[in-house]
Amino acid sequence: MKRTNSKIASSSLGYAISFLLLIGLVCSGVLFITSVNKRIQVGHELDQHMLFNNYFGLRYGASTNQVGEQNIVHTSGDTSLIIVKNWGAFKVVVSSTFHGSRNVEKSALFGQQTPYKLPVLYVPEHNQEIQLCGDTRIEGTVYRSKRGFERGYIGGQHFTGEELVDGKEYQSEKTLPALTIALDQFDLAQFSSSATRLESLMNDSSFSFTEPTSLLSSTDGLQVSNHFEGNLVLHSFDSIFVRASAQLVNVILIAPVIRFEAGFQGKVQAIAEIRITCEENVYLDYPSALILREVENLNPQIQSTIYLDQGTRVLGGILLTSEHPNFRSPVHLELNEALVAGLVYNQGETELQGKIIGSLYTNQFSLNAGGGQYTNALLNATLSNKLLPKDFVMPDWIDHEGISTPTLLSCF
Amino acid sequence: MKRKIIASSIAEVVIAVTVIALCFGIASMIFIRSSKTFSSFQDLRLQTEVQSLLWEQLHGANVSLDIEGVQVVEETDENNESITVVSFISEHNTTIWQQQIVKLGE
Repeated sequence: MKRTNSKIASSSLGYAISFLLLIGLVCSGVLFITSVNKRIQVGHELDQHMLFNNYFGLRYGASTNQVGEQNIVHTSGDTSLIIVKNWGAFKVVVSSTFHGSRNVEKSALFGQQTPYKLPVLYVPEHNQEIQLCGDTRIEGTVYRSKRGFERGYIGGQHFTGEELVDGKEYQSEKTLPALTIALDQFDLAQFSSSATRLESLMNDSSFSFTEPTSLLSSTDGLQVSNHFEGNLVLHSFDSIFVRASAQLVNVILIAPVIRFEAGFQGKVQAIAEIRITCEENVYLDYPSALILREVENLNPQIQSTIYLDQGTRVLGGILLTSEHPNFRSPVHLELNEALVAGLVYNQGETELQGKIIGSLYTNQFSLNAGGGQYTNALLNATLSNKLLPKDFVMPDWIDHEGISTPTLLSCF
Repeated sequence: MKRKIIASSIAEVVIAVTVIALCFGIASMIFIRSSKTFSSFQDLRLQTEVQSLLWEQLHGANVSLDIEGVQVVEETDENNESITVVSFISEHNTTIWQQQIVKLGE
C-alpha cells in the first residue's frame, strides 16, 4: 500500500490557535482587572479600618482619662499610639494609627459627662441665711445653710417671686466639696517643659495637637489681634489684652491679668492670678474656661477678681481658687448682667447680678447695691439648671457619684 | 454526488476543538475564580450599614447595633480586658466587619 506523504492542513488549527490567543488575551485582561480591583478594594478597606481604629483610639484614650501614652493593637493588624494630655480645664487625646507606611492622625478635646446631676447651688454651712431680693430665681436642687433663704429688701427692691426655691433643698457641709483636679495643671511649667518656643506671632496660624505645644512667652504685655487656633499657649509675665478683632479657638492664655475687649468672640481658656475682665458683649463659646488661681495676695487692698460685664456670655466653666485664702479679701467673681452656662466653682465670694445656667459652688455671696455692701444676698439673679442641655459636658472638677461617660467635645 | 472527508481534516478539527474546549475551560475557571474574590453585593450593603451605625456610635450617639441579617458576636479583646471586639457576621457566614469598642464602665 502506498502511503502518501500528507500534511495536516493548518487552516482549522490556525483558527483554533488564533481563538486560543484571543481567549488568552481576554483572560489576561480579566485577571488584570481583577487584580487591580482587588488592590483597590484592599486599599480602601485598609483606609476604612484605619479611620475607624483611629476614632476608636480617641474614644479609648478619653475613656482611660489618664495622662500619658499607650499603644493598642487592633484586630485588623493596625496599631495606634494614644497620647492623653491636659489642656487647661479639659484634656486632649491624640490618636495616631499606623499600618505599614500608612498613617492617620486625629486629636480631640474631651470631657467627662456625669450621670449625677450637679446641684444648681452649693453654699457651705456658715450658719447664715441668704437674702433673696428683686426678681431672683433659683431653680433646681440646692445645698445651703440650715438657716436657708429669706425674702429681703435691698436697693428698693422686694423679692418678687412666689417661692424662694423651685427645687429640693438640703443642708450643706461646712466646706465646699473638694476639687478633683490638680491645680498645678494650670501652671506654665506644665506646658513649657515640652513646648516649642516661638519668638513672635505675626500671622494668623493654626497649631495641630499632633505636634508639640507651641508657646509664646513674653515679659511685656501681649496684645492679641490675630487668628490663632489649636495647640498654642500665649503667656505674659505682665498682662494679655485680647482685641475684639482677634479670633482664638482652643487657645490657652496665661498671665497675671487678662482682659477681653468688648465684642470679642472665641473659644479660649484664660488662666490668671490677679484679674480676668470681660468687657461688654464678650462671647466665650463652648468649651471655654476662666480660671483665677490666686497664689498669694501680697496686697489685700486689691481683690483677685473675675469680672463679667453686661451682655457677656461664658459657656464652659469658671474656677476661682486661692492657695492662701484671706477672709477679708477673698477671690471675687462678679457678674454684671452676664450669663454663664456650665460649672462655676468659687472658693471666695460671688456677686451675682446675672444668670448662671448650670451649677454654682461658692463660699459666700456678696452684693453692692443701693449704696450698701451686703454679704449673702442676691438681687435680680437667676440660678437654674433647667435650661441646660442634657448632653452639656461640664468641666470635671468636682468629685461625684456614678461612672462618667467620656465625651469628645471637638475633633481636629 | 459522493463527497469524501479527508482524514487529515478530521484530525485537524479534533485537535482544534480540543484546543478550543481547553481554552474555554481555563477561561471559565479564571472568570469564576476572579468573580469569587469580590464580596457579594448584599454583604457590601450590610457592611456599609454596619459602618454607618459604628460611626455614629464612635461619635457618641447611643445606637443599637442590631441589623437584620447580621449576627453580632461580642468577645473580650485578648490583649486588653477593657476592650470588646464586636464581629458582624452575614448570612453567608462571612465576617463583614470587626470593630473594637470600649467597654462601658471600665
